[in-house]
Amino acid sequence: MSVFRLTIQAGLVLAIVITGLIGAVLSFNTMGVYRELNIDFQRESLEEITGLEVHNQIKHAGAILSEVGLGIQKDPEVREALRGADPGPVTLALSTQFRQGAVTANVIRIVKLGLYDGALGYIGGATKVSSPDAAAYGWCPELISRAATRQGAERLQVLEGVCVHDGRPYYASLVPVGGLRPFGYLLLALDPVMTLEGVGPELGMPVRLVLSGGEVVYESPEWNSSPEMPLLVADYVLPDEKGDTALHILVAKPLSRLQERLDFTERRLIAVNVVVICLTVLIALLFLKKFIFVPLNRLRMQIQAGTLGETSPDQRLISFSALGDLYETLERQAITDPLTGLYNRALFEDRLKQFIAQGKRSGSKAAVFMMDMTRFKEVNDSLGHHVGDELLRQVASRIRGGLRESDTLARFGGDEFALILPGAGEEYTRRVSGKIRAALDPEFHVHGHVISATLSIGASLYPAHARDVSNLMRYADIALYHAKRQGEFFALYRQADGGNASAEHAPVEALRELIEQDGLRVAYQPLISASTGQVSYYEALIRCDHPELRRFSVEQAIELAERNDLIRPLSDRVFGLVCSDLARWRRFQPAIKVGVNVSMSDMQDTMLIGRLESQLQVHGVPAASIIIEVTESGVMQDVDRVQTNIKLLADAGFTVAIDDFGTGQASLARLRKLPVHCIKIDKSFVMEMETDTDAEKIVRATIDLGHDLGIRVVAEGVQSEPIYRQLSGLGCDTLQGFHISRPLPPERVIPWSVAAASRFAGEVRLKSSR
Amino acid sequence: MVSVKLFTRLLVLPGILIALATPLTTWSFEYNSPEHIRGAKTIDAEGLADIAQSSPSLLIVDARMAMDHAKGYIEGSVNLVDSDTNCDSLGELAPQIDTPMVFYCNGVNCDRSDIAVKIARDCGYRRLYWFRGGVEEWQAKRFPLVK
Repeated sequence: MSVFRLTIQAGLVLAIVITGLIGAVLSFNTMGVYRELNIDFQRESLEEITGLEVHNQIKHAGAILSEVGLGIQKDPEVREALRGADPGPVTLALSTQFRQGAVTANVIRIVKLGLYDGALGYIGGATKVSSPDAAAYGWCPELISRAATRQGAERLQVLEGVCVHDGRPYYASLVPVGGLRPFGYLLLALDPVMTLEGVGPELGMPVRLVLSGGEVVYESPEWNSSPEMPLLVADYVLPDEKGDTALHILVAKPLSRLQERLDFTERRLIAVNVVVICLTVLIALLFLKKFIFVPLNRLRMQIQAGTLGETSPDQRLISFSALGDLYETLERQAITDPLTGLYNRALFEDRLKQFIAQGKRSGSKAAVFMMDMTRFKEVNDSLGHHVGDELLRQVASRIRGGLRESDTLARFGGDEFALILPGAGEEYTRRVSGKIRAALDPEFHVHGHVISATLSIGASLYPAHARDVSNLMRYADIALYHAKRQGEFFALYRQADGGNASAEHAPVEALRELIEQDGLRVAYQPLISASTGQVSYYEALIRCDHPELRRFSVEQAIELAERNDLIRPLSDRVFGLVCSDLARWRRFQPAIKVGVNVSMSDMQDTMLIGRLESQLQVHGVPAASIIIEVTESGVMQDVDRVQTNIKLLADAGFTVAIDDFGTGQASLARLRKLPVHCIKIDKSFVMEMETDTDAEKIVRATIDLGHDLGIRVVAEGVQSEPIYRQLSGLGCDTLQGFHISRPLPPERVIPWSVAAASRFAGEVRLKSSR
Repeated sequence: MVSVKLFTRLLVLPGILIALATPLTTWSFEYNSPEHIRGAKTIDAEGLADIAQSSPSLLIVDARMAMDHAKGYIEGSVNLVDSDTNCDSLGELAPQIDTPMVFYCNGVNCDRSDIAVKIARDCGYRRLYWFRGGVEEWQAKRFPLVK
């Protein structure tokens, strides 16, 4: 239960903490995403700004280019060359223009001039650095073909655009020649690199120009001046007429300030997150504690203390309906009998206790009934449990039908019922018993069976008979016993009955006292080897020295203990004494062994081996020094646990002996299967051997049987010399009896052992010489 | 009653302010030329280009002052400021009264070209065109100006 509770609590706490941690991890992760998004956004806006500036610069250069072009087209020499449509003069005229306008051309880096006829056919051109190749054909075919598609007045317009020639980008302007009546076109191309260098200073950032092929055509001196500084680089792509990349314009901005800001934001957000998560976890834990753990704990303590159901509802702190339901279920289970819905024994005793506590103050009286059904077992056995259960339900309901609200009816289990009648005197008690009898009189109809059920009732009165719970119940029990014995329906306790009851009460208390106050003694009766006279082992026998127990034999005392749940402490106590004696003796005689009688209820105890072994461990005694004696009737009981325990005992190293052999109905087959080392022939056969030949035959057969199965045979009750001789003659292995020795007090065991060898050696020699 | 008074006051004050402000905004010193001038055909930039193409004898007159003309003009135009425009100066440029003529100045807010057109009309020229949009429209439509 406590492991389960711990698991629930730990599990819930763990779940909340894990949820908190997941929240923290998510928030950290979100911060990372936020940071990346922010940087992306910054890069995008930087690209946008760069693009705007690039266009600004190019537009500016383009305006100058167009103006230059419009000036050149007015030149008569150029117009003349165009009209001639001869490449030679055209190149010459344009080269002249380059020379004349060298300054302007240089400022904006005009690198190519070309003339086209009215149908935009290329005539000729000139380059800044004169090269026949450059003059041979026109540039920017895309711009020219766009111009060729124009109609009417549009053809007067100046056309501008980016084009790539020989892998390098150019900015070109196509100017009509001839004013409002154009008869040709002049193409001017400038190298935009120098123009675009200006983007850097305009934006206040280093700039880098990269061709689409990857060649760096310009780089600001500040570019990469401090490589360790993280940079945000925006890449603006300048497209050409076709839409392909003509030039990359890269602009770099230090990231440090942005990062500082992001770091600050991140720290702040994380701090807020941590605080929120911690608060959430704390609130959740407090909530759990207040509404789950505390009520659960209280419930657990109430269950442990057995006070469940005594708290008034307002004292409970149960808010969750599930827990509340659980609480009520547990409470109901704790105080009621699930079959009949009546109260159980615990509640009954509690009520009685409360009543007595109140009664002492108020002087009120009450009656206690103990009831059981007369042939209930027969019903159960012949008609089945379901009929028995239903019968119990109906009986319970009929009894309850005749009672007052204040009466407490309980079922103790089986067919036992109990009742408290507050305020009842003798007369009322008798009247109620009559009512119950009348209620049970009609036959019961259970699952198609007609059953007549009768009840026996024993009653005791408070305060006339007793003033405490246990005696009131005991006296009612005694009265019930009398009622049953005399075949009566009802009996009221009479002081005279108490004689018998206290006859058992006093010895039980005496026995308890002996066990609890270390009053038990053990005597040891030696068993000797018939062939050598050496001590085989000693059998431990309990001695109950108490005036109250004087009338009881050891067997009766043990039965008394078994009836009153004292057998376990008794066995443990005796085994402890034996082990402590053995430990002491083993210093003188390491091979000394002691036989211990184990009761039937002990043999059925699953903890038996554990109990024995813990005692062995405490005293440092090996299991091999102990012979466990189990009665034959016990061994042969069809109880799995007994069989298992015998095997476990043998496995643990104990020697197992079967006591009182011959009195039960031993199955040879089963005997053979069990790891039994020794059988002890019951003393009744041994003692009669001298006079009864049948007894002798049994003894002889038993000895032969034992030997055939490879089991040692012990004879108990060797009380005279002739029997001793007779048994030796029959080949009995070990002998025990008053002729050899009476049980000895512990302090005489060692001296006896020493003396034994010589004392019996003579007899053995005598026997062997015959 | 109180609310009505308050409402009236609330309405009256902005009303007065608007009334005061209105003449200031509408009463402008800027000249806005008429859409049409009797005896002349109003044309736009494309119209000018088309007429130039179809009429080789077209006379294009820049009616602005020389200073403005120097800043950039439509190629092929002559500069004759409106104040100098009269039948004599026109006669020197176009002896024939059926010579097609186009007049322009800076734009719609410039009155020089419409003054010049009216003078030309009064001098008897019959094929008159008025490029009302002038340099502003010409540049806006990305047609080239020369210097």
